[in-house]
Amino acid sequence: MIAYALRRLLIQLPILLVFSFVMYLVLFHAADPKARLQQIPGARAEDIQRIIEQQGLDKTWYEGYWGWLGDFVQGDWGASFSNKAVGAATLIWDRLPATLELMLVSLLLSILIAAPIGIYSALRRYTPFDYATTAFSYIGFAMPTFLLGLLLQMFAIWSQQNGWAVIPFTIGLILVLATVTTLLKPQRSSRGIAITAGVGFVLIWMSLAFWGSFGGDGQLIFKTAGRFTDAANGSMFSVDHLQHLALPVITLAVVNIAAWSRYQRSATIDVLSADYLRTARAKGLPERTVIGRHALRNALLPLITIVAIDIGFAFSGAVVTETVFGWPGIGRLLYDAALDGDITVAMGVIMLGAFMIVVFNLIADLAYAIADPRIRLA
Amino acid sequence: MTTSEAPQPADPAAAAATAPAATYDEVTAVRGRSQWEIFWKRFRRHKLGMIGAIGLLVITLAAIFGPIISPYEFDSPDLTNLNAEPSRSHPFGTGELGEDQLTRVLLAGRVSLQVGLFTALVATAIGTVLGLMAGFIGRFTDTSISRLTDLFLAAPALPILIVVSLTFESIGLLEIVLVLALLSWMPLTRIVRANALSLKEREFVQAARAMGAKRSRILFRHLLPNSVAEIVVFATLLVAVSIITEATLSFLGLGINPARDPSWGNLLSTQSENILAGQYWWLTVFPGLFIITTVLFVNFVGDALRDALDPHGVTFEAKE
Amino acid sequence: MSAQPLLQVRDLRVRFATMDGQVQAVDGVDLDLAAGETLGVVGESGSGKTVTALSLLRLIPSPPGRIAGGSILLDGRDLLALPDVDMRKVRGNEIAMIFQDPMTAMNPVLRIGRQLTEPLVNHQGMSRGQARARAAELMGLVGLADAARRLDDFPHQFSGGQRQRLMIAMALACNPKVLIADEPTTALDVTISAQILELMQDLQREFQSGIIIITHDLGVVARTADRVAVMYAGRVVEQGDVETIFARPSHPYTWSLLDSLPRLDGARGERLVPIPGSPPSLINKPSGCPFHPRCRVRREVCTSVQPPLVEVGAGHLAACVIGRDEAAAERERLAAAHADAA
Repeated sequence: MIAYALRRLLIQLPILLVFSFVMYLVLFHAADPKARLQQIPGARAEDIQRIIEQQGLDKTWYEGYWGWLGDFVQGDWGASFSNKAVGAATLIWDRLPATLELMLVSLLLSILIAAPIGIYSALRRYTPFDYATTAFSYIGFAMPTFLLGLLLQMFAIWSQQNGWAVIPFTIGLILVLATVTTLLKPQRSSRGIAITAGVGFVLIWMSLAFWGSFGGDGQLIFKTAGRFTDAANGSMFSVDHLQHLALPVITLAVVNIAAWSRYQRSATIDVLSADYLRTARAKGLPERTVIGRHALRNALLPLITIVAIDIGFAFSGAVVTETVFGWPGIGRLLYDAALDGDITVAMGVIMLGAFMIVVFNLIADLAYAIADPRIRLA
Repeated sequence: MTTSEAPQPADPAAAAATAPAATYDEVTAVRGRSQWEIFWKRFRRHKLGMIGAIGLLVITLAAIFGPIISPYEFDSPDLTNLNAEPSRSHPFGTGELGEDQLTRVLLAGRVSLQVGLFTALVATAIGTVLGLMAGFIGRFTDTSISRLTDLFLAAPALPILIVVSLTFESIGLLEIVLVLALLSWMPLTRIVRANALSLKEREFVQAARAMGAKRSRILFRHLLPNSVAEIVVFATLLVAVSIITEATLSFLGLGINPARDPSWGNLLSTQSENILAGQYWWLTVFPGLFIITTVLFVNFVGDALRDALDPHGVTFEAKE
Repeated sequence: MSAQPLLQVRDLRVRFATMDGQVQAVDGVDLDLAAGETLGVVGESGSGKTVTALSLLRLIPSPPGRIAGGSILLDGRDLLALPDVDMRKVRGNEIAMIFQDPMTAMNPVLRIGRQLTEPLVNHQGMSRGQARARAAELMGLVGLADAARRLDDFPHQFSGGQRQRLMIAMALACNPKVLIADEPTTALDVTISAQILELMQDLQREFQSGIIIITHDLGVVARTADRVAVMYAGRVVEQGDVETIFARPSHPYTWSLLDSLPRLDGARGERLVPIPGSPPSLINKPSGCPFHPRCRVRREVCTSVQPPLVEVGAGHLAACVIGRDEAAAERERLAAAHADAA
């Protein structure tokens, strides 16, 4: 299996190389630092000339690429254009923990929520729960990440103005709306609808009763930007940190949950009609065992692949979320670097992203092979 | 983008399924029509699909005719009425220069819808042609196209979009469509290639070959029609994805230049400060709502098309 | 042999709700099975054989399926009236089933040992260790070598024939009174399928189970069954001893089926006569006798009246307005005409 993994990576190496070359060309054309220098108001021609020579900006694209490749292979990934003192690699490694934290927390949350939702709605098809999660998924798919971020920020400001009661109020509103959507469907269980709608109404009523009594003193319940209020005293486990973490994590998780719960639902439905489940029932096993022992393992197999592949993409997909919430991760770094024409930093982040995609594609295959006894990698 | 046309892509599929026999007698003509009827019957039964189709039609018509009917100009400032709340004369409120937001949103809709539609068309064309070439010609062509697909698939899309959009002086509809299309054709190429590969060895294609059918005939009468369902669904869903991606880029200030063409995304690009200041919610909510509903409707239609075109879902057959 | 039948099915009706309407998959089926007897159920795809078999275990997927009426008496107990908990004690314990495709009927991610011991632990309250020992015994019984070691293998490590043996071992684990085999040999090649059928007969002698073999293959029936029920469009159209059915078939569908197949003995020496048309849609069944559109000897009444299953000889039932002797004459005439035409 290790041999297989190495071989796969070796095959991907030329692809990554070609990719880096193309990306460098594009960046080289896009960044054009010389033109940027000319645009600095009041810059004197000789100063510009000096900077160009100092930073080696008059290199042609092939000299530039060759130089970058050398730096990249040696591990310092080249000097940063805008932050000359430190190399691109240092800048990126400094920002990496923030991105990893955001990613891992949201991924964990997504799996823990998406898999049970998908399985349960497959087992209880055409119930209010199923319709509500379906509606949620549709909206999650249709929602651009940045827009969800903006709306969550609106929600944060709203809760700042009105206190904690807005949270149960919103949950109640969602429950009531979810039951309304299920009323559109022909088959439905009225008891489920009554319970869901009832809980929703109670939540709304309770929160209205306590409206403004808790919080609402101008403090943000959810912080809308940054990672710590005071970076120097920041602890990963402080309340302040969690208040900062909540909204970007939710933003990233909603998209994943929408996609994965749908996926898990259809994977489970496929398994539910499998012949071997009929065999299990024909043995007289209780439904609990049929589902728990025979269906679940098979139903969870495909999700492994999807999650692993998505992790690879999540790495570079956090750009938008990090930008919206001012989260100091590599996505935000890339955005700033791209706007500043900082070729080396942008290249570093992009190559890291591409590498992650390749690696997690491989991990997806390996994980599937470990989980499914039928697969042998050779 | 008119949604009344949404079912039409199925027509070639329906015709295609009966194509091999199309020349023999008029019986096939009857069958051809009934295939089409089966599709339409199934699409109509898909409630969400119909909601989506009708909804898209309404949005499209509003985007086309709304700005014409509207008493306000897109960029005519009304300095006496800045950032006004929604009211009877301005249902969506007014912007920071007093522009009527409803007119702006509808006008921006023209651009966003065009981005979605054209990106889907271009990417589908690229994906289909490359997929057919790879699957049908094989050998060196196949290898190179497959490697190219791998290359693009390993690419982290959003960072690349950010970088690429910086290479343009000013981005308009054409540029954004080309860039988006260039980064979204790969999955379709894989599907079409795989379909073509498996069909190439099937009896009816072998038979057509043995009878000396032209390559182009095999390509367009046999291989292409057999991927129509996937192509149509891919194209539909890509409309949704492209609208979202364009909006994201525009929000980041890297998409379509607002001075050239306003889109839903760049109506939102300046809203962060307003939100954090807790003011002018209507400037965010209405463009946002339009993005979500449009994408939602497109996805409804995509799902309905997938169900209606699925050859395996014809009837439930009681086993034995 | 039919003093007090072990299993007695009366007027069984099963409906499926589909997008295109209600399907009457099983439409009033009567079957009897005695201990130690083998009943062959024959019919084309869609004739309702498998649905009938699944109904006996109440394993019709629901929705869309539903047992709409009738009774299934096992030792005088109506299975359709049983609460779910008690029905579970019947499945795999008193009635066991062998499924058609041994490739898909086993859980790919569970070890064979686990799958074999499940019914033992579940119904007989054996401990894991006891059940494993018994499972190894069962594997030996169905002719699988090296059982103790192979208990820890996964299904994909066995060949198709071996897997069908495993399915049989699984079904026999609790010594069931009734064994239903749904196309047990369809997915296997000829030599393997002969071995499997032989194995089932050997085991039947040992366990005295009643066996129902569901098949579209008349050869399988001829080789294994004591009695035969022929199904068409969700109904039993003919029932009788295997010798009677093959030698003196009465229903036009049965003898058309026989005449459409090659015979090893070549006794009649005539050409094969295909049955025209295709099985009817179960949603819009033809009026009257469902076979009439394909029947070459149909009468005026056949389009309007659905004939009941009546006795045409000793223990021989058929659902046709044409009597047994008249049917034989018609069959001769048609065969001759076909030979002339050719």
